[in-house]
Amino acid sequence: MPLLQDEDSRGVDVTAAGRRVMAIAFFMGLAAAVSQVILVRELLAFCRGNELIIGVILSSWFLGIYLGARFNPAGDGQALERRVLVSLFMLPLAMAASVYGARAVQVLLPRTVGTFYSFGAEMALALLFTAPVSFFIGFFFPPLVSLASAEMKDRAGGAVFYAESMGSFAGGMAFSFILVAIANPLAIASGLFMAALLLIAWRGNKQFLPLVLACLAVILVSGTIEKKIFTAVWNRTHTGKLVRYQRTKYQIVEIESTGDTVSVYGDGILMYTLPDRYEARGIFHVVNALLGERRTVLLMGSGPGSLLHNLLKTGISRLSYFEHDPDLWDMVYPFRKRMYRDDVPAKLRVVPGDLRHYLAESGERFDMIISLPPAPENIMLNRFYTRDFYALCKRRLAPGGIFVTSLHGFSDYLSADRKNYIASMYRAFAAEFPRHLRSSGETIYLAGAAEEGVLPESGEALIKRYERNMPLPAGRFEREMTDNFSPSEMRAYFERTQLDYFAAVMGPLVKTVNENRDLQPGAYWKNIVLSAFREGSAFHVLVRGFPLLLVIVAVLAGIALWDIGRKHGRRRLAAGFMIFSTGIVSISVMLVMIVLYQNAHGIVYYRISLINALFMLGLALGSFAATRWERLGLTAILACLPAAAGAILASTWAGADFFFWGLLVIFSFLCGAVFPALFAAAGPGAPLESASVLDAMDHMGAIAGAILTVMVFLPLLGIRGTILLNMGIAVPALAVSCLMSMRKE
Amino acid sequence: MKKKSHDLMERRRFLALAGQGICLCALGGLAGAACSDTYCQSGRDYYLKPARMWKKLEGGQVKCGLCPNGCVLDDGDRGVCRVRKNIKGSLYTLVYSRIAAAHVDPIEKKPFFHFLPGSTAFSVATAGCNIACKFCQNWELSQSNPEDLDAERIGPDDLPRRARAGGSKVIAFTYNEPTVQFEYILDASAEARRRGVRSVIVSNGFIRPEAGKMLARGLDAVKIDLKAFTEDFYVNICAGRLKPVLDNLVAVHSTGKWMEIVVLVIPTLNDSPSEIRKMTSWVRKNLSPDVPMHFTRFHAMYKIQNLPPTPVSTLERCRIIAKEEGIRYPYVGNVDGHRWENTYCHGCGKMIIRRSGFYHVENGLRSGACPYCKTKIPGVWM
Repeated sequence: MPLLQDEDSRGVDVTAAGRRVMAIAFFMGLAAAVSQVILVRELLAFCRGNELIIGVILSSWFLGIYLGARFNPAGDGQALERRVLVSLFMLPLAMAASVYGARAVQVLLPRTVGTFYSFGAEMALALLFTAPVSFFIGFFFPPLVSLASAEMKDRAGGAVFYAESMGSFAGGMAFSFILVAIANPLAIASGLFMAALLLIAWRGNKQFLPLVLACLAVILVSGTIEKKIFTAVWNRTHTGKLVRYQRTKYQIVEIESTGDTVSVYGDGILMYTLPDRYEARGIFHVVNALLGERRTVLLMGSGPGSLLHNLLKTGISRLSYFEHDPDLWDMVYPFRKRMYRDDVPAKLRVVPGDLRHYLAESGERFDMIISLPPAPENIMLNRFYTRDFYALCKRRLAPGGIFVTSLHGFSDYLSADRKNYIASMYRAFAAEFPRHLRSSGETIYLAGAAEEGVLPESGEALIKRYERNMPLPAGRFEREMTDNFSPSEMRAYFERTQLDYFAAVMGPLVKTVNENRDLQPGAYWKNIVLSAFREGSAFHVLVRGFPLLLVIVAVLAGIALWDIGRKHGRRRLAAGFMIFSTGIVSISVMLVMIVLYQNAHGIVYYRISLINALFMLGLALGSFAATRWERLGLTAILACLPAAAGAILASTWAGADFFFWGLLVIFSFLCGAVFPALFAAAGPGAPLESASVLDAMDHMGAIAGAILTVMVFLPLLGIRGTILLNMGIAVPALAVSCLMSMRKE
Repeated sequence: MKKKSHDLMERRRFLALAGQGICLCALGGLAGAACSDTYCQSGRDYYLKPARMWKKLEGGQVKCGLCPNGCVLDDGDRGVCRVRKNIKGSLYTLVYSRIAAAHVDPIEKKPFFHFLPGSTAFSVATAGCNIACKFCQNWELSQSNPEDLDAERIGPDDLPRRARAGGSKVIAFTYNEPTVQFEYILDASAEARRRGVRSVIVSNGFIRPEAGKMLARGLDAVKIDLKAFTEDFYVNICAGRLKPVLDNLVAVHSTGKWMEIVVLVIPTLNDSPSEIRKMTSWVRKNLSPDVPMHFTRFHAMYKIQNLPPTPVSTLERCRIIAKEEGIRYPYVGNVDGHRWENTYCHGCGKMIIRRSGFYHVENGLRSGACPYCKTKIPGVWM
């Protein structure tokens, strides 16, 4: 039974056919949005979770769409309908296969336990698991537009784009507020498959209906199936046995047990191990030596282990422990309670939420702030190493207060990449705390105070001060803190030649290196460069040689545009160029918006779907408006695009949160309006070709935008520079549009 | 049909052009890298010295005989270690006197627990290594070319003077794999001895026995990293081999120089009780029960970034097994404050040296013997 015709073929119900087209487009948009955010979340748990990989995943996503849209040969009505049907069914199946295939690949491509795949391998695997899913999103679009054009003529492209965008908006909202907490990918994929079956059945193809029951059954047992898969894969690829896993709003948490220890992983990255008694010994004594008579302490980043436990046994009156993921505390607490044999004492306040956001909003002050974050492997973590953060902590110190933090240090030698990496953070710290105490070693501890005379002059002075407090009260602290302890043990943190070496190397460098800032996240990028150096792979050449990537992208784009010009004429070439440019700008600015949100609020992963959804809403509204309102001309849209980007740039100075969502929708509105306006201008006579060219070049621009933003624009230019650059990229598109208008006249 | 084949041709052409574009860019990158390699040959000539332990082959090739890799090198090639190079049919070392890192460390940090406890060692290193452990702590030194590192020239004459200026009576060749600096160590240790400064080495032991013996004769103590006791581990994790290390251990021990062994215990990779038992049994039978063995705690390092630290209970188990197998001085390492970082007399079991990390050492020995039962404690105490 044809998909898009009524049963009575003698009198086709045009309006009903149009509704079916819109329903399919809406569904595909919804499925696309849900699948994309699931893939981002799930692949981050198997790749290192940073913006580089997000950019690669998004690029791979768009590449799949590009391939699906571009390689869409002409066909008759039945062939086109088949493509739409295939896409409907294959999208959820491909999504599930990718999610669980990504887990299985760790067994099929084994790596030494505790190592990561190389960046190159991660990118290749991200492509392998993302592009086949998004391929169907590109593959369905041109045939559906072609089928719709029988009724909607030159509005077909805009109408389908609008419906798809609305579906994406709905999918993003549904994930952000409902699905994120309750469903696993297998259940979601089964649900989408079931919805596709019902959609097809709506128009008479009822032979697939029995499969709905199968889908329901899979949904019911999906939790059990997933647990078996995850546990089997984990136990084969890790040192311990998986005892607990959970998808929280923010991450996938996995807890493994090895002998008498448990290790806690977030998105596949080791966070901490409990118990960590001997691990915490050194830092505990350094902190205890600095603590003196201070009473209120804030602690972040050490994990809920020995440092927390022993600090509670000092003379402090209040310890605020920050856990960004509240579900994580609940998951780990039973293990902790067994190991530390204490309940949560009254003087411990566990604060769920982002530390920066809290400090910015609350105004509370502390006698000591201890921030021991993981390495700045992504921009979210980079925020705890910026001058902006250090300035905030300084403002939140009570009189006589001390701020203690850590940086990754070095073993005996500072390579060029490591020097730059450390220098960008150290410079940021030293700018806020010019007089400070610095330790040596593979972890460098820094202590700063807002006032003079609060800190001891040197590590040696700190040790002598601590010696006056000896012996420590018997039985108060854990045995592993006090057994065999002598304050001179702390000299390991203040080794003279290591301190001198650091000072000699860093002295000139901190004057020239860019300090790490929220809007110029240099340490995050330098950490990636250092990681690439550590791999010794070709990727190191790529991340150090920015022009190489720009050249590759320019060459590929040039070839694609030349191919379009040759096959489809100059009009479509111009349209392809314009939408390529706006494709770059739209994704680049969206990534910047994600980073801006992250800077303000912390973990963004559970909000990626919401940002995406609102972006899609803007796209939908824009395409709707451009389809219905002919006055919204292409040139006007393209002129407003850099202006909207400029407003986003201005908001980075204003710092007002409420601008964020409004600007996101306005900007995406303009991006959404481009497609229908171009579709109308580029080729009303050949809808399949026009849709194919425009959709393909739009997504090629998105690929370029995603990869260049994370690998070139943000590292080189920072956030404001990237926005400025995007304003510049929109200008040639505007120029071409003006030229086309003039030629028409 | 015609149109379809025309489309197919166009797609192929498109893909071919795209591939050509990418290849051009890649060639550009390779050209850049090649230029860089050529440039490096104009490096500092005073680090260049004729090497020892090699032989000439036909056609201008040389075969290095320093380590079991036995690299056969064409003109211009470097060995696996990156620091020995065939220049016009002769083998040269590129790192003679080339020092990239120099620090004063407590001797316990090496770790030497039975060699001048409480003293400091002027510790020096260059670039290069003949294996590639995925958990290397000093990978920026060991896995680098010498020209990629900032370095200073410290000749064999200068080294003892620098050590004394830093307050050290010991020079330690350490951090990277020092045996790749074979010629320099031979000369520097001889010079140091003349000036009353002792020398020690911290090595992976992956060197030919005859070269190991030559080095050891000039040194005062040797610490060998025994990475594991399976060939699998050595091949897959370290790009080396176990048997040559064992042969070298026997050879070096036969010189009578003081020796200590370190085993970095990595969860699931080399920590099985059976492996530890075989290892410690071998040490007792083939070396001596007096050779101290340090079972040290692993932390995430170099390429093994996502593995939890070794549980302390695992290290304790290693120590217990070692004791059962007859090793008199097994230690737990990298666990500051652990009671098994202290030294206990093998005669009476009492604690005779108390350690609190690397910097606090209370040495209770009297003339190298236990103050309680007078048992001679193996080691170098003065």
